[in-house]
Amino acid sequence: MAYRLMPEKRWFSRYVLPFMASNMYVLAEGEDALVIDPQPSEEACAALQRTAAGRILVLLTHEHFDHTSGVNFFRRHIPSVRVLAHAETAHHIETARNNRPLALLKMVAEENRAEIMEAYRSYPMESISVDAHLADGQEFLWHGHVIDVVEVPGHSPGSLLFSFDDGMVFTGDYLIPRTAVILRYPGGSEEAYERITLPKLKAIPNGRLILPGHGAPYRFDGRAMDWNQRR
Amino acid sequence: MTDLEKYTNVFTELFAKSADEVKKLHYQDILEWDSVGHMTLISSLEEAFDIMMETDDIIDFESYEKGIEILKKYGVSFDA
Repeated sequence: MAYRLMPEKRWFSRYVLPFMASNMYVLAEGEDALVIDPQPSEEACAALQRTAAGRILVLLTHEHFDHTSGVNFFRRHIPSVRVLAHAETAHHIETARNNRPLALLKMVAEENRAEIMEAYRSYPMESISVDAHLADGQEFLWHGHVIDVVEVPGHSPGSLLFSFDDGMVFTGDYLIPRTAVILRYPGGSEEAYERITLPKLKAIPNGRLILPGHGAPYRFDGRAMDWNQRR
Repeated sequence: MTDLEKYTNVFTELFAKSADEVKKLHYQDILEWDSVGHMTLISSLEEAFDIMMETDDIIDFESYEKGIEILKKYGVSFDA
């Protein structure tokens, strides 16, 4: 399912991963497309092929499978795919077994076992390579848009925020609407979250458009920090 | 350290419970062993014993005791 967004008069499409409800964001400009947290979406791929996008720049907010599962999918369908991520994310996802969708398995119940298992098996267990690493404070241009990189460890060691033209922030698994941040996954750290990440989240200006890794985009205000209590 | 001690340590460290307490644990008995805790438990056990569990085993891993039965299939020895 794709949703079209027009934040700050730029068209982003948001695609939602079945079961996990994770967001992939796509912005196509000419022959290029920017994809944040790719997922294996035939619909997105067809849309990109219609707009003749032959080059994709992929940004990964972190290393969990529901935010990386489309990297190799797009590599199989689009001529040029360049992937940027934190070094910790790159290290994690180069090991194939780390890319299993384990989170799906405890969603299994009697009535949906076949459906869930089919979804689970649709994700090939394979290594994912990253072309270049991103680190805190880096800034780069894509089609004239300024993208700033902010390291936000805690949910995972390789978590990043991406600020886009100082108007939007892609937050991965932080600042999810009405959802506490999870710090208990392997590599998660309460200490890193409190010391490094929380001050950065609190510093986001009110009114900034938040594009979270799950749930609908919204304008940042104080409520977001209330949701972001750890668990 | 025996494999049984190593196995028990994964539970005690992850769920912050004593060895006696974790031996009675079942999935969702405590807040910490929810779906998130389960993923972390499986990853930790796979790393501790250098194994990769089959999908059905990850689903069926419903208790501390059941986990011992499952890990035996992967060559982990729980003999004293």
